[in-house]
Amino acid sequence: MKTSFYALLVLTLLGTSACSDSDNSNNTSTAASDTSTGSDSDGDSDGDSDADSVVTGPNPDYFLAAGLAETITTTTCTLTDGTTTECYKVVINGAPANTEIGPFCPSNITDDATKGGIWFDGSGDVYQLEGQFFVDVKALYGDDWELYDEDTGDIFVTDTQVACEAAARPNVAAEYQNHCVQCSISYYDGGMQQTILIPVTPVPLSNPESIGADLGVSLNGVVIAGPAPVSQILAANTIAAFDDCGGHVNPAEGYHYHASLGCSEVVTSIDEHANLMGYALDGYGIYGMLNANGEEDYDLDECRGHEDDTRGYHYHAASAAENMFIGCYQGAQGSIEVNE
Amino acid sequence: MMSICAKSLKILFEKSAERLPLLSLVTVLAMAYSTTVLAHSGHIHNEAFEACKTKTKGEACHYLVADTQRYKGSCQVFNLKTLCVRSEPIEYLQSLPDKIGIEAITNNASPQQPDTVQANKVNAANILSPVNQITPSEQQTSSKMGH
Repeated sequence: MKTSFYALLVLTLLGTSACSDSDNSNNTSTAASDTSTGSDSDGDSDGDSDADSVVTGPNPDYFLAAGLAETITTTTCTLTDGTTTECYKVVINGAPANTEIGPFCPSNITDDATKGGIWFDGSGDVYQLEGQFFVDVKALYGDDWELYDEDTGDIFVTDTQVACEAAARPNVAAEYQNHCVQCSISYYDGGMQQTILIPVTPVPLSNPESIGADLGVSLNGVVIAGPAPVSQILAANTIAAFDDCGGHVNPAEGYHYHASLGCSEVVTSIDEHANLMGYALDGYGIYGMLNANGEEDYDLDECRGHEDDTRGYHYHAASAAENMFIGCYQGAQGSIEVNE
Repeated sequence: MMSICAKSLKILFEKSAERLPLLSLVTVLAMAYSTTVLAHSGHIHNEAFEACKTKTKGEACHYLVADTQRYKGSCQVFNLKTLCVRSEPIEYLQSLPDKIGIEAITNNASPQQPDTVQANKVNAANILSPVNQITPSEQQTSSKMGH
């Protein structure tokens, strides 16, 4: 039963990839086996459902090859709890395999939603960054917000690398306050390579651990980040625009996601479960918030995870409006770093 | 910028102390402070942060969005900042006449739920569909302004 499920899952993946913008026919992931079936708690790996808990690890075959800088391999690694184990080494190009980056900020207050991305501040709403947003923003954030030229309607946008790097940091330079902030990935050679180490077999923690800056990697080759620092961004009267996939570019790590909007859900679950979008640094899968029927689970823990017989322990991303993916880690984490 | 401001104020204080009466100095500092505050006035609020402002990691929390949606979960730490992480489906409230009303509506809306997936289709209401979406989903496009 389980074997057939994964066979169908892989077939679905292949079918989905065939429809994506990028050619994934050269997916060169070469990890020896499909580890998604993992092992039962009694140590066997026959896929029986007699175990109390199913342990599942990342499946390197699920990553889109176009998002990877090199073939996924395994290497020895040390996790945050001191465990020395085997990790997948995932080196990403720093640009999504299947979507274009942007747009972020519209140019003029007359622009429609197709010219801009989105904005969310963690307060429960997601805003389309059409031109009118910048007219209405005073009502949202205060009368001191002046993000466009009243004579021309042009929106103040950080449209150079100097402007981007002066604005996309905690202490925004005074001349770039009251701006819509965007950085082009072209400033960073089309993407920053990063290396992510994820345990082949997750190591559960007795107590959940907090999330730092980045928390995982998506199947289309993008870093999954923690909540965007919206308080700092808004304190400078800036909007750090996201594209419609919930990502944006900063000088420190290039393009990265702050929200789950479906762009990386390249593995479709066939049992009406939510789709897989990536893996956390502890090796557990991160799935979309809603299942195929638009429903959300009622039994999520404090990290936004739970366990089932098919996937073992896994997370479900929160909504974009909440400015976060998951709440914490239930497993010891590998690492992520920008390649020099 | 803050450190530059602080340094400038310190220099101002040191120089002024020799020349200005204390009252004038206080006035200058008060004006500088009020200018800073005004520069960042507005309606910036983050309910997920506010819900955990006086709580510690792991404590239960909840907050309201637009007076019609109730988010419930626990406080978790991200980069030293504590936020309320929702772990239950969003509760959609019909109206909030007063606190008693909130509790009544919430109780009615939240019977004992088994630990299985249950219908909550309204959860999709605030989710945007990506432009380059790969997998069809139930997510709906929403363009919102204000609460």
